[in-house]
Amino acid sequence: MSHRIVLGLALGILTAAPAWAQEAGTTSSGASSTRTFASMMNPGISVSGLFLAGVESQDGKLVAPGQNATDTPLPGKGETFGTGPSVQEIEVQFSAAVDPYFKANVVMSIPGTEGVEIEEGYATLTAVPRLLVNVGKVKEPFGRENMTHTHALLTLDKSLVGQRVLGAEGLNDVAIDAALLMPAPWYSEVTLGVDAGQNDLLYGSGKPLGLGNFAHLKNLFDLSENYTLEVGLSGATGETAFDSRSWTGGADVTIRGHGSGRHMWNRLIWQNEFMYSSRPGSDTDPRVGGAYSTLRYSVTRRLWLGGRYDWVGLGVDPVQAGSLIAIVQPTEFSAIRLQAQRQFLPGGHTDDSIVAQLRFVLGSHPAHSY
Amino acid sequence: MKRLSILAALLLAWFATASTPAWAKLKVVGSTQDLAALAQAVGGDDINVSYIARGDLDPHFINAKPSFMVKLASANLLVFMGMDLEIGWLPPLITGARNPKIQLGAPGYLDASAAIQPIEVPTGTVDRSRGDLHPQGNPHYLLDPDNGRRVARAIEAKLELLDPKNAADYQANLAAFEKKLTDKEAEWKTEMAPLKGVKVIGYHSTFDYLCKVYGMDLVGFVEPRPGIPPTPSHTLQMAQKAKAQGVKFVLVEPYHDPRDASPIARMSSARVLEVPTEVGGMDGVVTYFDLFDHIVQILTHPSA
Repeated sequence: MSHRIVLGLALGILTAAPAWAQEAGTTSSGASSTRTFASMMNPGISVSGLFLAGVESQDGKLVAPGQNATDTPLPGKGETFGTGPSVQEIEVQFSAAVDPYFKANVVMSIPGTEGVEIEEGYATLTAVPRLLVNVGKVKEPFGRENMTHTHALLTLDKSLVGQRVLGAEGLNDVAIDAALLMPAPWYSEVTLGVDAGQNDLLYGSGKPLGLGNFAHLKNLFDLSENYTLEVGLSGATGETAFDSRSWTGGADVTIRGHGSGRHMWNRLIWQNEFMYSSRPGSDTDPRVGGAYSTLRYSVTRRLWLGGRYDWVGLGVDPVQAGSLIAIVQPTEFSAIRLQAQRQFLPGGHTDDSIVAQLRFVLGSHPAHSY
Repeated sequence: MKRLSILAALLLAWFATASTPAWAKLKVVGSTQDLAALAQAVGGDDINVSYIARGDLDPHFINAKPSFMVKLASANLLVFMGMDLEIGWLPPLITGARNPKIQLGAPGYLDASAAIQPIEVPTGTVDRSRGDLHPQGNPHYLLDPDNGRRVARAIEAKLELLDPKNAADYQANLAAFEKKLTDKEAEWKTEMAPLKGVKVIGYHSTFDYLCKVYGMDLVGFVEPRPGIPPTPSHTLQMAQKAKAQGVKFVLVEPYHDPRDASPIARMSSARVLEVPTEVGGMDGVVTYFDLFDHIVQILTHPSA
């Protein structure tokens, strides 16, 4: 039943094409705003939706519509979306200044069509020079992908190494962190924080745990007026439920930029991350590490092409994957993304998928970080 | 002990960079190159000026590079266009700069649009089916020289507030700027007089203030809606309109592809002109006066 509703909604959105005819100016000079004080004091509210339709096969055999491909999981396989239409996520976000000293963000996520999760909910102290302090549930600053919301990922899914090391939800916990902008001629930021130690993969579950600690160093250099190089190091550690201490580290390198003048729409993003985690005693990947490399280039203002290579092989049976992605972006508020992926799994197994995603954003969505 | 030493060093570095010494020049950052040029004209040698968005880039779509946060971290004054022009990139830069002096409501936060009277404030239902509308009106207001004057005055008032010891300099610089602007306005008006009533098409709604000032008749846009890239059917419609109404020019910003407008020119007698819309938009456009000198030159001597 829910699939029908979702399909109807998706079709409705796809077929409700805007009328493109240009109208004469319907605006007037100096018209006063009709916004009330109450509406002006509302936070910025936005909704983003991700709708999927895909085909998946495992070892050449079609995954039947409605069948969850993870019911019979192949060892090492990353997240896939099965066959047929589905809702990947609907996200509702509220953001505003609390007062002259704090800003706050609340992000509620509905994965699929059931259940509301508080993905993020935090206040940021902005009143101290060179320092930002976040308190609440946050996507922690571990590499680049971990902090990215699903609708802003470079590809439809998270990297395989990100899923194996940090889990499908990533390092997303109740935390307090402080991010200091270092006195350097380039952008250099050091973040130190503690979290509640609730990441199952890193710290296990089932008994009260100590706090997790995390740190992130982010450096960004201007290679030219248009291109930047970002180099980051991340770490997280904490006591585990397996009577051990887990250590997780990562390194990331990203080059991004764009052309000048009329070529400013030719944009490049090349993002690379390496992650490794040791959690002695864990039943799930006590040692695991790997890397991914994602390249995206916008051929025109509306069209992006790209791909991602995944490798997970440290401490576990090797897994590789290749993904190709094409993105048609009519405006910054909507996009249709098509991704083809093959995962090469242990034992000679393969998983192939082709997925189309419709992404839309309503309302006042805050700008994404660089 | 070692941890304490590291902490102490970090705190020392933090305090050393978080305050501006009294002898230092005021640091002013313009969100656009236009605003930086106006600040420079008013502040003269008493301030250090820099900017974020280069004049050859679309000011709606600037990458919020963290290196801009470094620039803003030590700024005493941020001047920005407002009216949501920079909504896609300036807020994370302001937050990331971690500089209380330029946060919303602080003395170093100057929304230049508060100084001008906007045009094209949308009426009725405002949603994105009408394109990327700005609810507070058209934000490309610096293509009206009188708005340049108003913004220069607002910057001067802010500089006086933040740096009273140099107030006399700022007042003198503003007076000189206004005198030259008044003289140049008369000159530009005379040169542009033959273009009064001439029909033009703009790529985006960037040229609306310019057309209003000089009496040009803006009959349409290459974009089907503000911020929406051109479509073939709309381009054809504009070409037919250009032919029927005798449109003379299609005005294209330096950051848009003039090839998008060339079908309109091919099917009519209109001519595609690349026109700088901001300081820095073309070689040689260094000051606010250069900007209008170039625009007037291009429009009045299109064959040159």
